[in-house]
Amino acid sequence: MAERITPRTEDYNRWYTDVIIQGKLADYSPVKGCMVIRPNGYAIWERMQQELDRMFKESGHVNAYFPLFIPESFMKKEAEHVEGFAPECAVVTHGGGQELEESLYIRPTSETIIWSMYKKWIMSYRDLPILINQWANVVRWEMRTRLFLRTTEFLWQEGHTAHRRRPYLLHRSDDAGRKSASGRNIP
Amino acid sequence: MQDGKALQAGTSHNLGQNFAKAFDVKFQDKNGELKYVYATSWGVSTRLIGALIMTHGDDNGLIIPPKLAQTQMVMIPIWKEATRGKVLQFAENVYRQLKTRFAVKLDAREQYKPGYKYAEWEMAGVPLRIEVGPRDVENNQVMLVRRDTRKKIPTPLNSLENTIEKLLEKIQRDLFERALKLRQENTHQVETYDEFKKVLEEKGGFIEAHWSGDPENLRISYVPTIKFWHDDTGSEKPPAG
Repeated sequence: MAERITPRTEDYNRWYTDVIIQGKLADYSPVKGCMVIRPNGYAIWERMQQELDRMFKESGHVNAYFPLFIPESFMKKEAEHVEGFAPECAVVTHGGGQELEESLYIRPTSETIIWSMYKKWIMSYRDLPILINQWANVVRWEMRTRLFLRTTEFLWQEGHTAHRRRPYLLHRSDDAGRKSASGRNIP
Repeated sequence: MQDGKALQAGTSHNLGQNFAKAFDVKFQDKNGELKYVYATSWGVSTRLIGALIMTHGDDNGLIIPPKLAQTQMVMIPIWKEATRGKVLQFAENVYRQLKTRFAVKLDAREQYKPGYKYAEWEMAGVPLRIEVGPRDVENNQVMLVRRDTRKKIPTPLNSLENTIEKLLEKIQRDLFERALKLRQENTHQVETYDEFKKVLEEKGGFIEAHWSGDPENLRISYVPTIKFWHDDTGSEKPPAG
């Protein structure tokens, strides 16, 4: 028989981990703080992706892909961004056996690299809005990790839109996320 | 979540012109005037899977809402040596019929007993189980078993597809209603700060309260709410902006 799952009333945190391990959703990896998403878990993510992607496209968004590496100087351009993310980033200092002239940050999120491109692409009001989404992995160096809830590397989507005016329709992804998690709605 | 705690499921940011200013992104408007561009960013991650587990799981493991299940149902044939051929043939026929409409798996592995398979598929959260035994073959029926309530529903073959379709919708709805009810039962309205503290100490859960709009004020009253925020789930640093 399969192993026992700790009852929720006994230890909620252990129950959570047991469900994941026994259900073969994910496993701990040789890299501290990172997890392996097993086929049972990845199947759920694929269904979530399909449904979200359908909704994004239905509302006019398109997918694109930007680099995993972000030049150090980009990270420092926006004050809150530096403060919020720099301490928890993984940084590449060497490549091809050589020390790099400029360190490369593994993306914790992609605002900076994407906005550096938007500068090239946006000239006039005719170029707006831009409604781009990216499906990607990101890395945030976490000290305390938990399967699916917080891991050093995780998968997500990040929408980055550019507009002529301040958008007042907020919570785009909140709504989308809620709808995705139980098919239509998550309380 | 079932432990009465909240989980940050996604983020959305109205970033204003911060990134446009940092990267000098301007556009020329209809009057030829140069202006900074406005930005938003928003995202959800594989954390949603954690949310799904905590919202719907039970002591037997995961429960996947039918709309998110890559395998919606699993068929498990139950046979002894004497009935083997008959049961497997029957199961195979039903499987072929269902496969055209549903995401169904036939688990005919011989090295495991049915009981083991039940537990395994229950843990994996598959919303519906279809048992097929010798008596079902004789009666031209199957036994549907809901993962969420474990209720058994004997169903004749001639109404099987319609019954399954309705049942999947019902499971989806019931899971949502159950989670909603849990949240509502754990949400309390308060009118004063004293009440707020009292509810927090005695009941925990979620509290709907008025807020003056002053961030300072929020910080003061926020301290006791730390209890809400699961060390492991709630304290994620807000992304940029």
